[in-house]
Amino acid sequence: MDRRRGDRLWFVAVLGMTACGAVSFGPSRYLPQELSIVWSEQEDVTVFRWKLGERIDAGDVRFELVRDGRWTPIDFDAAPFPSGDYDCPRATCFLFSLRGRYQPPADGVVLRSVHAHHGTLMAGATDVEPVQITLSAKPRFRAGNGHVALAIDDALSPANTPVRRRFRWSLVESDGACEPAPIFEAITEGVEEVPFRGQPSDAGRYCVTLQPVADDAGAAVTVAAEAFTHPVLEAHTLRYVAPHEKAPVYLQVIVDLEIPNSTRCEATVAKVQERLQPLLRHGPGGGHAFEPIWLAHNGGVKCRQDASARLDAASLAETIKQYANQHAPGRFGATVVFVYLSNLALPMRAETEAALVELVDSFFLEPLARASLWVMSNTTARGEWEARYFETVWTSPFDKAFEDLVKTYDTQRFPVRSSLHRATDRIELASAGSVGGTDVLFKHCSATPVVRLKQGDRSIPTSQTVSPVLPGEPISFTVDLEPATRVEAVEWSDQVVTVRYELCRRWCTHPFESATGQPQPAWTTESRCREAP
Amino acid sequence: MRKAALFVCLWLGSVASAAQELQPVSPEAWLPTPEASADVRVQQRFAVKDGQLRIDAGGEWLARGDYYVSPGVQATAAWWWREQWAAEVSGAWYFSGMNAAARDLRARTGRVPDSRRPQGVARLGLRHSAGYGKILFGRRVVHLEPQVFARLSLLVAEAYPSPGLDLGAGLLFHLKPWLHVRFDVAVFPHLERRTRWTFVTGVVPSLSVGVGASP
Repeated sequence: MDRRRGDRLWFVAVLGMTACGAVSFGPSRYLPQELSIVWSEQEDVTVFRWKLGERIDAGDVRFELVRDGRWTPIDFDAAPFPSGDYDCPRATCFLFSLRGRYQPPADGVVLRSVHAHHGTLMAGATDVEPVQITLSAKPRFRAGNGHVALAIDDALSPANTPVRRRFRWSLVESDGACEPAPIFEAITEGVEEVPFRGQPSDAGRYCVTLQPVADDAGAAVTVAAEAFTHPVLEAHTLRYVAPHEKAPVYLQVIVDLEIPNSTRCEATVAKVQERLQPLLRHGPGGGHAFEPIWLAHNGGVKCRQDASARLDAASLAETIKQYANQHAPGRFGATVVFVYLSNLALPMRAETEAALVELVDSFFLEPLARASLWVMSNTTARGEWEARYFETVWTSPFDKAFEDLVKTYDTQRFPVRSSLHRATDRIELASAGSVGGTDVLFKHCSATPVVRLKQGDRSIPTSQTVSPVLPGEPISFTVDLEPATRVEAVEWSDQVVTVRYELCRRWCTHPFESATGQPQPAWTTESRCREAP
Repeated sequence: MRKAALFVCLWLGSVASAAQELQPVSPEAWLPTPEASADVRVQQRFAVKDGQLRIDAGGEWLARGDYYVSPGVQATAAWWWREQWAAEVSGAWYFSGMNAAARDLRARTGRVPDSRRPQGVARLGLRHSAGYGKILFGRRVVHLEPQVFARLSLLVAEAYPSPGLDLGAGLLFHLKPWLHVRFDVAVFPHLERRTRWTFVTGVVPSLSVGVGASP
């Protein structure tokens, strides 16, 4: 070892002892990877695809291809079809097309990248894969028939990327045989659909011809495919709210007050009757207030309790029932409200309590009336009593608190409603008259809750996708709903049935697209509707 | 040659501190005999930096053990607001390339180190002149200053910024009162985003020529 070399090693060793940092080796970002070579038998074009790492500067790298045994620079601009870099996930992808069938060298190494700083990097050996068809289309009319989606399947456009090539296109009426048309209307510009102007033919069949535009002015293949007009569809939603009736209120006040002053007594009861008036507004025609029952009528004074007083429950009930039978409207009759008033801080007499219970219970099987009881007294409620009846502490009707009590009682319980819906009731969806024609097809989309479809008197089987709307045979449905009889206000909710259906007026056997734009098969054979449920 | 330089460095420390404290200097046998009336002789500095802007330009070498060879050019501007203290800003541009081992591996396998190719660095910090001395070197007197410095650095490697510190020492040789040569060695700890964030230490020797002038 000479002296100068020794000095240099000493210098490098000193630097090396101080300079450090973990280094690992991985593929260069400029190393061509996942190279694929496809030869299109249909177009006689070879397509190369490969990728480099992400976050590279594509302008700083060039590529070379082995041609005729020599490394030849790739000129993307000279390719017959659009070539170069394009976006792809976590990488920078490249595409290059070449006319004819590429013949790789014997060792299979065909491509390399050249970068000023990152050097020359060879792609792995790759073979050429022949593919018969690289260009095809499944054109279809969009909803509304204003545009035709070309749905081009192009091997020169990488998967999940927009079509890179531009195409000459034409759209001519078809009689079933779709031959490529030699005259083109225009060239696509980055969009995969073309406009359709004018009125579609009755048959609604068209032939779409496509030809890729070659940048080198060379030959290009022509493909043709048939497109069908989109069915003319109407989406409908029927919201059926089951009918119901409201029961009127028949009011009966039972006075068991202790007020020695007769004038004051009658004024109090009159005020009670007045305060209870809001209850009478419910139901068709309103309710009715019977004359008060003076249970404490003793010795000419109407508000003096008497231990021997008796409430003739049977007679009172009979009177009210007769009134209800004569006057109660509707199918489910009226609600009878008994209001018992007592202002003494004494337990209710057993006879009175028994009579009140008998009074209310006597209406239990009555078809046109049901009874409820509001006890306003200072007696201590028993458990059973409290659970079955509305019980409040005696409050003077001249107080604002009495009005609040009535309001609470009213809003919680009234109106009492009963559903009038029957399982056999038919609700019409579509008839020849309502849809305005006879060449209309009906398709049931969804219903909540489940309904039974009928056409005329016939049931429509669930397997049947569409039904024609026929004169004299309207399409309707029946539905089972939970019984709802004499339901108080706080527990009532409307019974609603929602039915979605579609009507098709033209080209119903043609394919259609969903509301999200996805192609679907013929509308008449597909059970799904255009609108998602 | 190397031994002589080492001797100069060892001797430098004592000379530098003596110069700062302005202590009496013992006459040596080969120096002229001082006049009998003076106990202390203080010579004017050969070069004064106080209040001067000094601009340096030269070359440097970034060694990181990263499979890259990184020579570079650099420039420094230092404002000496006192004789001992300067604020300076510095920048360097590297002409980096893979070393032979990495190039060979890349050519054979396509694999490359995850370290990034250094492109340039910017620095901002302080420089301290720790002493002043002169030595007789052959028949020539050399005026020199030992210096230390600390700078914040931002290395750019393949467009990625790597923050770090730049700590080092150097020798400044005054050729003329307005002309100098400087040799620095810095340690350069920094963070670099490789496969993951990695702590890296580099060593940066540099040699530059500079001029100074009072604005």
